[in-house]
Amino acid sequence: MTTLAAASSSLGPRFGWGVRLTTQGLRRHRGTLIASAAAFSIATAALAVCVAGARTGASRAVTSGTVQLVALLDDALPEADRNELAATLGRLPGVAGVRVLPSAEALGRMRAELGERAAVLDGVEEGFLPTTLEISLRPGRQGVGRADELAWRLRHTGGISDVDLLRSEADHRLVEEQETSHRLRIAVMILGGTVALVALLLAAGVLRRRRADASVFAGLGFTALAVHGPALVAGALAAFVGAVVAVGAIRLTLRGGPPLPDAPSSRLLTSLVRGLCEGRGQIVAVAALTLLGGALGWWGTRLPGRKGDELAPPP
Amino acid sequence: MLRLVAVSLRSGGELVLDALTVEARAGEILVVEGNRGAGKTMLLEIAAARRLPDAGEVWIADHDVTALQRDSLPFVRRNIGFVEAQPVFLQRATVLENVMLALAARGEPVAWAREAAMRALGKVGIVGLAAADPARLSNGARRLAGIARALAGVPPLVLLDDPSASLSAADSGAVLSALIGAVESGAAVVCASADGAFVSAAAAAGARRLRLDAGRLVAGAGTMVVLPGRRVRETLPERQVDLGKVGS
Repeated sequence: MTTLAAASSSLGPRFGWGVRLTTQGLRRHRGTLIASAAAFSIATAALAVCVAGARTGASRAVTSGTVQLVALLDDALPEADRNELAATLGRLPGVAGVRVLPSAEALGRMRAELGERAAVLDGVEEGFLPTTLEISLRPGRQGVGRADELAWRLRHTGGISDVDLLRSEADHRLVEEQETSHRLRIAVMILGGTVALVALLLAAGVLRRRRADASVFAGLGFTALAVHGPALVAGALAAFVGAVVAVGAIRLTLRGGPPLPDAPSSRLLTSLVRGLCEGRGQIVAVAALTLLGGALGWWGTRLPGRKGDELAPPP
Repeated sequence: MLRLVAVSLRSGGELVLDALTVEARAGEILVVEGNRGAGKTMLLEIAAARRLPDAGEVWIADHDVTALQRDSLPFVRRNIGFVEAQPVFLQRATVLENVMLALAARGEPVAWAREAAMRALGKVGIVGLAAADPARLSNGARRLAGIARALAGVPPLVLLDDPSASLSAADSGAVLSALIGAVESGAAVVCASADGAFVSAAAAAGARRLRLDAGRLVAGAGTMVVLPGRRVRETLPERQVDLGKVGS
């Protein structure tokens, strides 16, 4: 009986062959690479639209309605400082107006609100209530959308003892607008998600064209890594290129255009710009799609099972 | 080198191989004859570790392939030169690159693989087609390219399904000479063929003949014809088979 020798081939030639066969595969399947990169590009853009739809809904929920901040001032704060603080707050973006409400006026307003029960305030001194600043915020992300942040900053500002954040219910028109926005958001998310899914399936289908290669490699005794590795690299490369092209194209298109107004109709575009041009979102998206592309390449070149490919029962 | 023990296989409800026992030793050519549907192709696929039988044992060197895990099968397959009924090649790659693949699977250095691939192409007489695209070749030329790939580097076991199909008499002769060369290097060669002329020529060159009919061995078992002029099994050393990290 023939004896078995230990594996004599070193890792060097195998690595060299791996690189060689992978690059040859990319060259031989240029069309597949381009087609799958285009499919991944479409998938990226569709996913961006889907995410933009979701973000628009979230920002609409935050920025709708009206909000008023009431800052309670320290009694010891000089009048000049009080007026300067009011003027400074009035210049902040998103602030519609600031009104100084003296202690006496605040007490008078409370008496009026109590009506017949105002007698409970009889004997109360004039300085019982602190002087306050009533700050009205504009609708939108810069105004109402930043109410919590502004309240937190005011609480940490010298001369202010406390801050009340008063939100009012949205009026009927605003509610209708929100419902319309909600339906639009759902529609955009469904459309974006569907297009992205179809594009990804298309990319997987294109990558499956490499199954013929995988069949040859498997028949000649290449390991699973060598059989599927070239397709994995091709899938990852196609996804990376496609995602980068999509992100770059959207950035160039939207940044080169006119400034976007903060109107409901343009909020989708605004979210799209913010989603793809700011933060780490784009890096995460490109990285995730690259991994997905590699996985699709591997999965796409899996060969149909045959008896000979089944696991033998353990000895 | 190759030993099939009581191998049975069913396909589509039909019994294709019926408790078949066949052995091919290093340094001999075994020709399996039989009509279409006799089970020759299935026999070769099982011998090539590409298909598992329903019953029986398949021994290659001293490993029972039926007991190996799936991850181990590539280490067996890379030591087998296998020519399918219709050889499959990489698309948009040259004949030379396709032949070199067999040596790439064994991790041979690129320069040596190119040299060995050219030698194999020379043995079957198609050196001139080294730069050709297999997809543009005739059926006969594709078969010769497949045989060259199977013989490249002379693996310890060579299996050929109908090696003379679509070939001229001259090409068949070249193939037979190449197979004899492989045997003289110590390989075991198993051919399945329905071509009477090729079988006769192979027998005249010293091949052992078996006949299959409906998955059963009907003639030739036990006959042993050695290559003319030398007792191959006695004069050739046993080949060192590199099955890598095969584990059962």
